[in-house]
Amino acid sequence: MLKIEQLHARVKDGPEILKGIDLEIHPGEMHAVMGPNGSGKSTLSRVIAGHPDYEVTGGTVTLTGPDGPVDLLELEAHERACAGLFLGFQYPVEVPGVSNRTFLRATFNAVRRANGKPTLDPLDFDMLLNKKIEQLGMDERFIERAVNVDFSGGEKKRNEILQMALLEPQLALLDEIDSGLDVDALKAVADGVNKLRSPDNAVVLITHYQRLLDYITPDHVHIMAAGRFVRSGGSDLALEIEKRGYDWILNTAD
Amino acid sequence: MTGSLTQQTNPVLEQFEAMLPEALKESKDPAGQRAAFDMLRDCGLPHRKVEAWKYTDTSAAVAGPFDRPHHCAFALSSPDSVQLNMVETFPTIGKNDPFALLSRALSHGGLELIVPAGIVVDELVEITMPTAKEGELLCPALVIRVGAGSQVDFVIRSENQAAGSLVSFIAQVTIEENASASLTRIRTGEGACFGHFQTQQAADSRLSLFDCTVGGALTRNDFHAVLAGEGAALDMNGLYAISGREHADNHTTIEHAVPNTTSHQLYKGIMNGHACGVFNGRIVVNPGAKGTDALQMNRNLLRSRTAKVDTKPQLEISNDDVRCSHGATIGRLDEAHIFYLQSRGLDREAAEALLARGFAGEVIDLVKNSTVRETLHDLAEEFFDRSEGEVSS
Repeated sequence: MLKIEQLHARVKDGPEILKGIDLEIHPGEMHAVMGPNGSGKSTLSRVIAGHPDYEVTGGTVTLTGPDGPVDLLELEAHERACAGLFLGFQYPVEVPGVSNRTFLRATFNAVRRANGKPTLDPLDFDMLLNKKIEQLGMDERFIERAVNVDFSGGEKKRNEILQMALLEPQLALLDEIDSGLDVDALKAVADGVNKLRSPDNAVVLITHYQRLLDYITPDHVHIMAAGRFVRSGGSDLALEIEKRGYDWILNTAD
Repeated sequence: MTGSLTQQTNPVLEQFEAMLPEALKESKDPAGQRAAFDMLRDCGLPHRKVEAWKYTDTSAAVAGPFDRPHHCAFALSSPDSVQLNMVETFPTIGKNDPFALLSRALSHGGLELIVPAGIVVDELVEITMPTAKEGELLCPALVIRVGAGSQVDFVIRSENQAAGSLVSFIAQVTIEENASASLTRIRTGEGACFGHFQTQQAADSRLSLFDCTVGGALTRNDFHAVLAGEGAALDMNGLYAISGREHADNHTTIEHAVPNTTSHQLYKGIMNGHACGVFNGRIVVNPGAKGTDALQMNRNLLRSRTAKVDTKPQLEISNDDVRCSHGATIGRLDEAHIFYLQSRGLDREAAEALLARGFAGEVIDLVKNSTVRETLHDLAEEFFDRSEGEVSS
């Protein structure tokens, strides 16, 4: 589904941050990318999503969907979203003056339109939205509020999950979806991610800590350091990190 | 606030003076109008060396020639509980308000609305200001009094004004003790429009003003709000959304005259094309007005490289024990916000359009009356639809 080969990237006019990433993700898989601060994990997700602050200096990123393979690096950020990619933000942006409902419907219809599917009018969209809200056990009141404005940390992250539920991406990159959450909020977010898993989609969790993985079990764990994957393994690897810290890997990596 | 107020022999002023005899003939207060014209002559029409008119060149807008019709008519939708009269006592105009003096001197008379004490008016009171046709000069006045303990919502519409016309109006709003009122003013249409507002609030009264300017070749909005009784609270919010070569100038003064009064002000501007916005907001805390709580914020969104705005928030505080803050921002849409929306599938244009609507929506949503709020949202929507082509990154 997603194939990354020898991806190199830097902050525009800055130092290189990604120094040759290789990753292959198949439908139905759950991957976790872990690593210490500054290892480049968030950069990886932003580069895949097409963040304008970064510049790809080498390598390829290919997303294969029902219509065949797409070279993501050739696409604008919104085209990548329409192709089935979703980036869950570590710090979701507040958009004052735009209601969450308006925002969600605009994005939903943009993706539908791009994929040649009919858009939904406000009434039909509300029915779908209510279904998703119920599915995720969310409070419907925050649909009326401005996007992420005065949301708690947990509400912002759950709003990201709601967007993911609506847009139904093939591949979701969730960047530190666990940061700043108390245990209840963490469980709720993890529960949402688990509910949205299907044999046809895949998720990449980007996280510093193992605790998210108590609630979501990844099929593959990749440890990132200094812009490279230094080790990959099964879910046991995350537990090992929890026990022994990143230094253990960094000191033993080749 | 004073400029070089030299005696001028000015063809524009002469044109207005030629209209004076006709205006006095219909008048119930010729002496007052004549005095106003004398003050206008002393003050002179503004030019850009006068501080209060530094960013607004009115010379083309007032050049004329103009025709002053004999009458002008208001349209009104209000319930029977609101009393209607012709204005007999006009507000006093200071010597440095040239367009208010002009309006007073060449007055077309005016409408007075009185809400008696102790009444809740549950229907929106809509006042449509007289409409100027091309080449016309109109000088209407509006006086509103809200009696003690009453509640009422007003909308004042200055719409459908024709290009090449000039409107200068005076409005006076008095809110008695413990009354609660909202007043939304909507300026759309073409031509030049000068609005001079005076508001005065008694103890424990609440007033929510919203001044919305969408379009218009030249707009100047002058507000002087006085919090004259303890416990009085004022919300003064505004939106100016302009495109092409339109110009909108907002000068507001909020005067905290007595202790323990509150004012909150948020003005937002959106400038497209070659449009030019001005915000000049003064908050004055008089000596002895302890316990004043005043917040002022002006935010501006420039949507093209050729649009501009001049903003100047000012605090003049004459004692301690007050809480005052003010600020102003000028900027373009935030790239981080744009990327967030792009990452959800919206192209850049759609992302910017949504964010700009949100920028306007944030201040419009401060309007509590839902009918008025919807009207403002619709106006903003029309503005965005027609000016989208003038946006440049």
